[in-house]
Amino acid sequence: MVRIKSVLDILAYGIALLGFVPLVAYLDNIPRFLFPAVLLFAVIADRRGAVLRGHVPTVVSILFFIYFGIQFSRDNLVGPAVNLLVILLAVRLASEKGSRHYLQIYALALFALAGSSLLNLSAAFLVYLLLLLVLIAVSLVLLTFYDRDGDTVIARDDMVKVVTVAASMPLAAMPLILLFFVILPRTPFPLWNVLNVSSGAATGLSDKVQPGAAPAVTEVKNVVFRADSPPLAKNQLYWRGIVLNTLEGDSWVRKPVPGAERGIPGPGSVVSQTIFPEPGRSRYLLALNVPRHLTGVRFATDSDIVHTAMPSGRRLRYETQSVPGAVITSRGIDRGFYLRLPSDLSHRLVSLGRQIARRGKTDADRLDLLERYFVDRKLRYSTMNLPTGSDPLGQFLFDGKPGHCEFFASTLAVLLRAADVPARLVGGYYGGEYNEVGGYYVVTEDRAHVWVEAYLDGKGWVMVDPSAWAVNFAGVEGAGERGLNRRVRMYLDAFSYFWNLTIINYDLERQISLFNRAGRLRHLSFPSHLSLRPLLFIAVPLLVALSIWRLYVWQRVSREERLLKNLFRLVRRRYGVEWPPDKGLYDLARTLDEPLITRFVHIYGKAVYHDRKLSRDEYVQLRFLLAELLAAPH
Amino acid sequence: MAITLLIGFAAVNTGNNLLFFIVSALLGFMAVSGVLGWLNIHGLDAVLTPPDELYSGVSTLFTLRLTNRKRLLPSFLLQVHCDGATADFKLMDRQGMAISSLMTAFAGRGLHTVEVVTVCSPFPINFFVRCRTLPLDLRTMVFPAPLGCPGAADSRSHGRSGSLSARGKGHEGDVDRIVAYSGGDPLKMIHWRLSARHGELKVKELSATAREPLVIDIDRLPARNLEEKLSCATYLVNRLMREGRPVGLKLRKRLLKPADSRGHRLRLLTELALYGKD
Repeated sequence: MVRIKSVLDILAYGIALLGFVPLVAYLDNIPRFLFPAVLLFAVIADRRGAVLRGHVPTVVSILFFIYFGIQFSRDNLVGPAVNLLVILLAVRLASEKGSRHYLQIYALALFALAGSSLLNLSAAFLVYLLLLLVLIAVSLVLLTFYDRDGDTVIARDDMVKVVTVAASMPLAAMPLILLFFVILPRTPFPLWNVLNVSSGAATGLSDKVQPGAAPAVTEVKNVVFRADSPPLAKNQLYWRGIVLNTLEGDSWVRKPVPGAERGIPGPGSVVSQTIFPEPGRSRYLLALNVPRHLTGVRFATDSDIVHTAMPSGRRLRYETQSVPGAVITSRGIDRGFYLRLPSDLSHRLVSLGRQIARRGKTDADRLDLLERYFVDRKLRYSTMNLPTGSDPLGQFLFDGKPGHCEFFASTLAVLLRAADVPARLVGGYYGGEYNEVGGYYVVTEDRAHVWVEAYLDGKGWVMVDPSAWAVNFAGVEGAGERGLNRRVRMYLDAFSYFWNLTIINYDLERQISLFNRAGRLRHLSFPSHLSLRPLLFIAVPLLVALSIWRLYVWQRVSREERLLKNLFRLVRRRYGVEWPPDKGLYDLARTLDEPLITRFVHIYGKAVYHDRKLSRDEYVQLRFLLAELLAAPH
Repeated sequence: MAITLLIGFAAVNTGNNLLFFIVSALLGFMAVSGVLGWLNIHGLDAVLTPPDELYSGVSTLFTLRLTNRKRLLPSFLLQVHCDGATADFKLMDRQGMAISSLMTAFAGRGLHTVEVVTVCSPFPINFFVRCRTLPLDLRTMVFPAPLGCPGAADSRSHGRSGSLSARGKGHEGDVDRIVAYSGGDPLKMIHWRLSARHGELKVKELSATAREPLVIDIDRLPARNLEEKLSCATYLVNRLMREGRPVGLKLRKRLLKPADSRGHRLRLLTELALYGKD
């Protein structure tokens, strides 16, 4: 035999934990450490019957409410709210638990999970939600048993049957959940964007390259973006982000492009892709080098083919058309701007550049000479033991120190400029892991890359990746993962990809397009002048006031009064009789001569008219009588 | 519902699809719980079996047999109501059957019908109690309420005292045999332990003594009106026959000869129940 209350307690711990875990990374220290401690206390206290009683939980809740309440501000709404939710959850766990309290735990956990969606959009949410639904479904059903029979026991076999049916409810609801998700009304733009995760930014791409700033580079495996694409040759996988056109001191930075320069990718075979950037800090839109068109996002384009996203508040997704390896034809470039070098540049580099300029007649000759020089130097690619100090580029090129892409690109660009060839750095990513399950490339942070564009007279901007001239470049990427691990990771990543594709990116536009495809709504449009804000200002206070009033009334009205109100409502509906409150209940029973009402009055009167509250059994009996009255034929 | 509305409001305002997901999940869950609650009280058949003897105004135990016809789903937390009486079924297996008792009384003698019972359940979530009626079509004879009448035939004045045979059943003496509950037996005679074992109610029959035949003349019974006379006659038939005395009945146009079998007693009681109702 199994005690229903014990099972309800265990389920309540699980439900509370599912509210807490998705939030744990975003909580203040007090709730973060308090919750596990309280959970442990609750597990022990529930077994020993030593839970918090009386007004202690209420007082503690109010104190925390005040503490977090004063932290609320326009820019900090979600933080204090989720902290408070977790504290309330902890307090509820530690105090004595009746039916109403269990329901409060379920509601708080659900709100906590909802709060987590304002902080994190990961696919793990789905797992938490499904688990929470299953646990809440089982708990609600067991709570029904508990309410009927009190703290009773149930045979193990029966418990299995009850749990099986209850747990199958969320699974049976799956098709409906998906249907509701698709058809629930969406607005053209979020009204309370302040609450959302900032998902408008595109990548963590740095807008400054400073070789020699650190002796080593840490490689981070975070996903930067995914690109829905056919598989491509590895040497085509250059993802263009930013162009750094000015060397200031020892750093390459981006300055506004001068003059009337206008770059256009040259001819070549076109590759179409859809890019799904992960939220990050940078606004630059990445695309396969060289991008010709971008659609599906609001952006600004500079003449050196750098795209900057306009803030949208939504998670991005855009389509690109690129010509891999194309030369960028550009008219009206300011040669002086792309030849400028700082005066305190390494003397050794400048004199090498001048020497190349003398030996090569054309820009293309000079580039060839530099390539040969780099190859002859047998430079090594590494992210460790990097040169630092006053002349890192000189140490890299002349003193045999290894360097990473920033050293290669920066050194080449400096030498090109010194050799009178306009040059600039292009920052982005190189390579990517192709996910055969989803048919897309995953590009991670550690694939950040810098290469060079040299302006060759008569041709245009030509892409050059000097890192490829390193003696060990072929082995830099390493073997990577193979076998089961890779497959598992690929499936997990594909899940995350489809999650973003179908769930996170679903919006009004896609909803309408889906409906259009279904042939139902062909002409649905939203007037652009329609503003929902005034409506919002009325609706929110109204809803809050309504909730408070409801809560207040619900707390104030005893269940005896509620039953009586329901009885009178039924009488009114069934017999059309508005029974005046000053006339007695027994009169009502005599007048209507309905056995169910007579029985109701008898049970009710036996308790209430003898100054006693209804017992649990009586309450249940009366509810059943009312339900029976409702179902009975006229 | 309130939670769904609140999160739905937040979802529309933030455009956050994960909140939309929660709202969809709650709505889907509500819909499924509604369907499950509906299914829970469907696919059920009720059979109400009355005891052989039912007396007007006397509470009697009926046997309620509930069958769950559903092939996949068990039914939970059912409460069956009939004429103010209630029987609980905590769990009904799929395609299973369960038996319970209902204590109920009928007012007025004659043929009574029970057309429906109501089955209610708060399953799966205790927010609503759903009910539906199950057809029964039960027709049963209710005998007049047995009421003692002063001055009527007294067994002691006519019979021989002593301990003759033990053919009739009585309420005193040794346990003679165990028989099925007939409805006319006092509750204290129910053998609960055996009833539980057999799945139907069993009563202890105690031995009683046998007496001489007697004919009851309805018209000459000392009572104010017909109903009282019939009640008195019922009381006498039962009491005298329980004492082992053969009893006959003189109605206005007919005479039923004395006999002492159980079938005869039920025939007499039926005549009394339908008397004047033709």
